[in-house]
Amino acid sequence: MRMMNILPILVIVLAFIFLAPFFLDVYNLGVLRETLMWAALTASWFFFSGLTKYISLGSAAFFGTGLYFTALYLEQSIFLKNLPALPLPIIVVMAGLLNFAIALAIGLISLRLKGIYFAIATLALGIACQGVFNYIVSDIMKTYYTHIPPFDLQTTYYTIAIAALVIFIIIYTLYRSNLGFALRMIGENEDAAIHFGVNASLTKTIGFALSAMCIGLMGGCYTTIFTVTAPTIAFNLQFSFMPPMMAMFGGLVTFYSPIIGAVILSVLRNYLGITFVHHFLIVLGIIIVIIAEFMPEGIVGFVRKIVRKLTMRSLKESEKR
Amino acid sequence: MARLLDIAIGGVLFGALYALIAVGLNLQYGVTRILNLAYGEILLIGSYITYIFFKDFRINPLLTLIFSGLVTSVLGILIHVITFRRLVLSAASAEELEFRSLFVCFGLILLIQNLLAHIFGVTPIGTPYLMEGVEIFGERFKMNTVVAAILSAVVNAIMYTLLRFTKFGLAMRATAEEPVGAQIIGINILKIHIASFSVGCLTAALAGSMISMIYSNVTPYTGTIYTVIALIILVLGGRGSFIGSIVGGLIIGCAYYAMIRVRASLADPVIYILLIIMLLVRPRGLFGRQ
Repeated sequence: MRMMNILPILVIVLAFIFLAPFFLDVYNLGVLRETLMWAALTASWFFFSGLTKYISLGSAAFFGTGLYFTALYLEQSIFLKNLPALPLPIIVVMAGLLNFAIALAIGLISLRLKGIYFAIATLALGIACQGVFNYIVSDIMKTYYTHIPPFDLQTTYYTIAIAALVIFIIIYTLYRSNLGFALRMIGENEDAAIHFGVNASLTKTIGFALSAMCIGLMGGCYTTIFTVTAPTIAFNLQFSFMPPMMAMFGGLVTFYSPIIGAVILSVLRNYLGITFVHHFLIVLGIIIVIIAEFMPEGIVGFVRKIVRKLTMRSLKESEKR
Repeated sequence: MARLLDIAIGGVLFGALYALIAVGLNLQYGVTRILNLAYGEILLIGSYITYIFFKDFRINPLLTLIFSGLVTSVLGILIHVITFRRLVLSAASAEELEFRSLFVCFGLILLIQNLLAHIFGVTPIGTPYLMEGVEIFGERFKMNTVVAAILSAVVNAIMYTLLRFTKFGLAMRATAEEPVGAQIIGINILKIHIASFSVGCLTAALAGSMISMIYSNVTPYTGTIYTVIALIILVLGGRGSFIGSIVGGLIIGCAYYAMIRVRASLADPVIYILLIIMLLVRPRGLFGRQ
């Protein structure tokens, strides 16, 4: 029944996303593409870290691995003919599975431990993965850049839009599944979850690997916007820091609140952040601190609270009459 | 043989610098349980203060250590009082404190990075000083790395005396080990937290000043790398362990220096493998308590 309430909004948003190339100009379409990318990353991050409260700072590692694996494969198969040419979706799925495997290994080791070890292990993973790809590019292939065959704007837009929608569907299904429920239990109280028969470390590891896989899928699709890329671009640490910030901005409340946060911040970043680069980010930093201090439920939680207060007040007034 | 000697001495010099980088974070995390991800950015503030005084006033970079130390220790107090104090007072558990303070750190990272970028621009800066070579056992090293190692030894010795032989240090150790017990016997925990946060920022700034002397590639965005190095040393040495941060720093320094000599591009992955092995075998670190 709640599905019926948001169905019209969902249809409008979907129609907007799919018809956007027909009425948006190049710049705005680029902004929309970027926004979809960030929203998908934030949703994937939220699925694991938002639910379990184990903060992953490894989004850059998975995004970069997905992006660079796809870039290398495209270069090898199309320009150098060393590998058989495959359609893009298959390469991207391979990149996602690679990420799944990496995250499974890292998760098995670092998620057994409570506390900050997970954050440290994932943050350092980004730099380690960048090192590995740097080694492949500079020492094995003796170059600095990787060339990618150019795609036109519409193709890249639809690739990223479809990938984002697929990721939203995957994440939403997982969020509503038993796995999502178990992850949320772990986030609320890990000992109680174990007591109720949840295999905590296995659940955490699989949740983390699935979230990493989705981030990798998006990374693979994001390759299409480049014609030349380098490990420093692919593994930029903003990919690690932005998704948690966007999710926190929106609020770690429900499935859609991190996405709302990502959309707001990404749009602001692309319109205000272009003209006032540093000013915008300075103000954003202050806002993030304020939200972490005073509104642990984010923008969505704040709006909800105000709405609840207003309805309570109007109820009281109608009672008085 | 000559190469081995070079790696051994260079590794120790490098490791001493790393120990200086790590000691502040270890103190901050050990005592306050706040994982200060903005540590590298505070370190950069030290670098930039040295840079201003060197470029505009032509003051010897070694003298600017006083300024960078003073400014960042005050800044550390301000940051703690304005942001983390509320969290320490309101958080229900240590886990919640860690979780929420991470987000405050995200904000601080953005804030400091972009303030620095706005004021100084994004071109790499540095204060090259004491670049001439010095010979140790027939191997040549840069003078400033030796100075940094000496500074690290001095700072670590001061920290050790502070923690070991003063009442204040005793209170710090008590707060780190048993916060509730410390409160019961009348230690003002909040004061201790602020003090250790401030001292951590001070040593970070000293490390930052040394870094701007040794490498001339400081940009507002290089801070996170030093945070990661300090975090890896924190895990390796054991959280809250003073000896651990020195030994961890030396190990990471030697491994890093050796990898740079053998195959520089694989240095980061090798350090990461060290971290993973440590997490597998002994998660509490070399000198950490259970």
